[in-house]
Amino acid sequence: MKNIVGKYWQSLLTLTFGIGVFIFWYILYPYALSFQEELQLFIYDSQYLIERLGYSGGVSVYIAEFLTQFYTSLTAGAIILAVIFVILQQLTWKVAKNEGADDRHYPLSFVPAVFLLYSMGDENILLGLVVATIIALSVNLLYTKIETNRWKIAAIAIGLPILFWIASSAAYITVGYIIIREIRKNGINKESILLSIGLIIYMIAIIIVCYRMSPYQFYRVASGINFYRYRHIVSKAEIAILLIFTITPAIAGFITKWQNEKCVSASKNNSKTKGNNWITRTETLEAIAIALCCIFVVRTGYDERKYDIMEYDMLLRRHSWDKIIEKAEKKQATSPTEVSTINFALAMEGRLTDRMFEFYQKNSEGLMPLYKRELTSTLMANEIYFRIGMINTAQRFAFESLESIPNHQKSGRIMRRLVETNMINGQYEVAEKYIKILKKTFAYRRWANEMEGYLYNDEKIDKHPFYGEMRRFRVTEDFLYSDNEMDQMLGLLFMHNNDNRMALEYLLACELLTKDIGHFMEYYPLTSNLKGYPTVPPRSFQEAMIYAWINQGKKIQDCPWPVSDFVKQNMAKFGQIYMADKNSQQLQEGYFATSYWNYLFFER
Amino acid sequence: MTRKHSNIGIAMCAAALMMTMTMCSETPQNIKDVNAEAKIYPDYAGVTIPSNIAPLNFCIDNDSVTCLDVTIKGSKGGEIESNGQYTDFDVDEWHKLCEANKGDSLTVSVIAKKNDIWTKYKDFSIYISDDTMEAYGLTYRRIAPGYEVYGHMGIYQRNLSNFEEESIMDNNEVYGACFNCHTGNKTSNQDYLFHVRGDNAATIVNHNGKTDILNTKTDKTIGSLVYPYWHPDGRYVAFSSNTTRQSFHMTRDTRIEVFDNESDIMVYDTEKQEILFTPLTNNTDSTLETFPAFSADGKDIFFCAASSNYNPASMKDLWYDLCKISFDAEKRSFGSKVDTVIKMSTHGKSISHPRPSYDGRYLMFTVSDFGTFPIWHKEADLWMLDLQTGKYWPMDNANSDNTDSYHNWSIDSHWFVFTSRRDDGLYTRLYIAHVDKNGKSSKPFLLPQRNPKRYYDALLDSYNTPDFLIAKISQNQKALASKLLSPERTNIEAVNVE
Repeated sequence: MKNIVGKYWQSLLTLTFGIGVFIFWYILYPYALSFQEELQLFIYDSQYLIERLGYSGGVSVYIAEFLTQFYTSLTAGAIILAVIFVILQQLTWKVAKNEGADDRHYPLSFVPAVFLLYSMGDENILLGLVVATIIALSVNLLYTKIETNRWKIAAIAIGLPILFWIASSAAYITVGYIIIREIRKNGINKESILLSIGLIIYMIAIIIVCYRMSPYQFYRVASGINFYRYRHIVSKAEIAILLIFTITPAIAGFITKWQNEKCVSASKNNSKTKGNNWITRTETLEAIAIALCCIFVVRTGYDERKYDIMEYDMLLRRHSWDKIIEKAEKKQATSPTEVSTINFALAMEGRLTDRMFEFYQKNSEGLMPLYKRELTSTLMANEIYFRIGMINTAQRFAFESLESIPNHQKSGRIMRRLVETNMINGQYEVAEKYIKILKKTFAYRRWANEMEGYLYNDEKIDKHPFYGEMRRFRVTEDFLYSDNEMDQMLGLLFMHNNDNRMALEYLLACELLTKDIGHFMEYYPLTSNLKGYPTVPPRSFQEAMIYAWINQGKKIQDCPWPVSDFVKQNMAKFGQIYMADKNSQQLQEGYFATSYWNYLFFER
Repeated sequence: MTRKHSNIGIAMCAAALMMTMTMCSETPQNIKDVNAEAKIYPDYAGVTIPSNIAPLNFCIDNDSVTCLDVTIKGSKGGEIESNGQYTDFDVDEWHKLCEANKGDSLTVSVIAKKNDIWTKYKDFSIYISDDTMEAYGLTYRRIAPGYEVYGHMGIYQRNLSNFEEESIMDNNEVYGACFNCHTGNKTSNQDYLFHVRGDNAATIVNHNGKTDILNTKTDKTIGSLVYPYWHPDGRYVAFSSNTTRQSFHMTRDTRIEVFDNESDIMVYDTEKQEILFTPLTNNTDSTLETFPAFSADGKDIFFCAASSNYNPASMKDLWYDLCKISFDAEKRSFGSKVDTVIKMSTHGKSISHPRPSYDGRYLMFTVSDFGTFPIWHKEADLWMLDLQTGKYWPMDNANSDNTDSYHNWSIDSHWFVFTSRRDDGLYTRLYIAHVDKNGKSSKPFLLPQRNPKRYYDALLDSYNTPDFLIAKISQNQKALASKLLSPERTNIEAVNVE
């Protein structure tokens, strides 16, 4: 066994790394995959290809977008990334070997890939950069096959512009590699200095030509168009990634050379054993350092708050209501986007009015988020507006989130929503336009084909269990959307269709959250219009009712509304404790901690 | 040397790919004759075109049609053919045919293959006007028809004799910028201006070979300059200044309502870099004034005006009338009174976008049910006012059931371009139509593309604010982008010239 491990330790290490990367994406950060996929739309269309072939780095971007489309399956996404990271590590090692790296320094070849994994915690670093890096490393290997200087110069002259057009800024890895390699081989002499300067000047000239050919700013062309989602930012991580892939093979080669020299010198001093021990110690340190790096990646590279929202987004997209609630139960969420998602999940499970005060609440924005010029929150909010029947608002939020994608990409998820809103609104021509585009995709084609059957067919849509209901829910009498009058809009929705339970529950919850007990009591009788609505009100409603009653100076026991004795007793108890000591810890514990009264008195 | 902003890389790739792509090319056999018109896209049957327009390529609006065999014969002679999934006429042959048949018509014969059966449809005509369209092309903005946020957008120029489109300014060059209201002086490619909104806000005025980058906010006006129109002499530009708000409708047919809380009109003097205003149209508490346009002789400014006494609830009663005030270019002064030209409010309708023809005979405008932003009004239609007789009428041949708006005249005053949502109800497309001597419009035609169906299906932008262009604009985008990205702006003053 020891022999097998000794013989195949490199392959085993790579395999472990590959499995680790798979687990990293599949178990720890699957929502990062979902997030990446929803912010692009790969279209099987020559025009789509032409657009990407038309700018430097576009080929890498095209390949990356092709791969990213498969992230709709999280398993496929994690496998793709695992394979990519293994390829990166293997290429790094092969280049390092060419630079004279000894097998003992195999662990060093993981450093750039691990650093990349760490850097990808910035969700705006796109796969295009990774694909381009693979291409550049492959070119480095090809370069080592060229032996004569004449052929090298010819290869650089022809190959570098092509490489820059294909891999954009990743070409710097190759430029750096050639310079380091030639200096290592020939030493610092006039020839190698001239070659280095010439190569750098040539690279700059290529960038300038590409810049003049493209409608982008210089720094963007130089750093890679669509390698980073925000086109006006050059990410430091991007630069660091290129640098680390350039220097790691050279470092591995340098350390080997240095060690060998030390070894020779140790041998000369008759201390061979001492020399070997020293080497073993270095390898162990390398391995430990890399293992620590991996832990560092997991712990620090990924901003917990940001990725929490991404997780909610993925769960929302997949309608995993129970998982949303489960997550919220484990960790309190406080941002309006998260809170509104939790409330929405509770509503979808029919538990909103029972359980909402078990979770953090702030104001009505936790029910119906206001529009912000921000991608994720707008995208997530559109789901709520859509399901409640505010189709035009859902459409607006969806459209705005589509236009908010920083690198001007489209999104299958959003386009799908736009098909739905237009279909429900009977705007078939627009729906058809989007369907035609979605039919040219891998992940949405089947759905688009199915939806095509609903085009221009009111009857079929009316009969659809979901779209038909949404059609009946949407208001037909026009009014203007108003952020400040959310309760009135919800009221109009419910009055338009008394089957819209969610609209009524949101209306009443909205009044509770805005602490408008008067309007809550005014609107509560509307529940009698809702078929099958329980005669015993949910907990939060009972708590609001009994509070409204005693607030009129009346006795608890005389309350005419359907409030349970249990709630009445707790109201009495809450009142007593509050009167005695407003700051009593008892009011923040047990039943009271999750009561409406706690929100009413303590949430500001 | 001025750099074009066509993406050369894209062009090269497209050319390479096109060469590798094969089109269907089949000879029709066993043709079945039907006495029905082919449903073609775009609908070019019966349209009137100028002889210098790009080929009117089309296809059958049915995915099961796999091949088209089209022959076009000129009444005065000449013939061209096309065979493929869509017509792709040779540009030179097309122009030769159109030139030879000027003032007459072309007869289009369509044979289509569907489910392996060739069908010959009824021929249709395309009329070629005697009136040449004196224009190199068009300028327009392309932007997704969104609400508040915009992604990729830009101002473009399009050669009308072929299919070339180039950007004049694109927000890839200035990230996050919004460009709007590109306006040339009588379709000039030398004197033109446009606004930049966003972090690098400015108004770019190209005049007499000089580019000014202006900050148009002053302490005497309500905000930046907005809707422009050049004085025919080229020294002045009439502007409105608007504090614009928007609301969102909750029902399906309408999406957005854009309205002004305040709006005024004024004139910018490009030589003295001053805004000239009169209290008659500036800081008028009770009136909203917008969409100024100089008359052809430059002696009057037409504009739209409405009472500012409204609120969002009563917006449906917000009706703009067409008014005018005189302007003396030599004295740099306004007239002493405002005249109402058309009191549309009495009809319960609202006027916007007055555009006088350059020969001074007509004035085209948009009529909608209410408000000041007809682009989102499905009922918006184009109307014509005869400035000699004072009569006005809807341009029925040009209008559709959906929004028709934002028109501009060619310099010869025989053609106009406008935006229309008639294709799908959302994405505005450009249509061009001919106006005869009686002010009647021909059936408009959709802006030609090499493969229109494919092009417009894939295009997720709307066309905005189109205008004709007398010659190609040479704009060094990268140099202009650098200037825009720097904070330097020329501040201008506002002067009361009552």
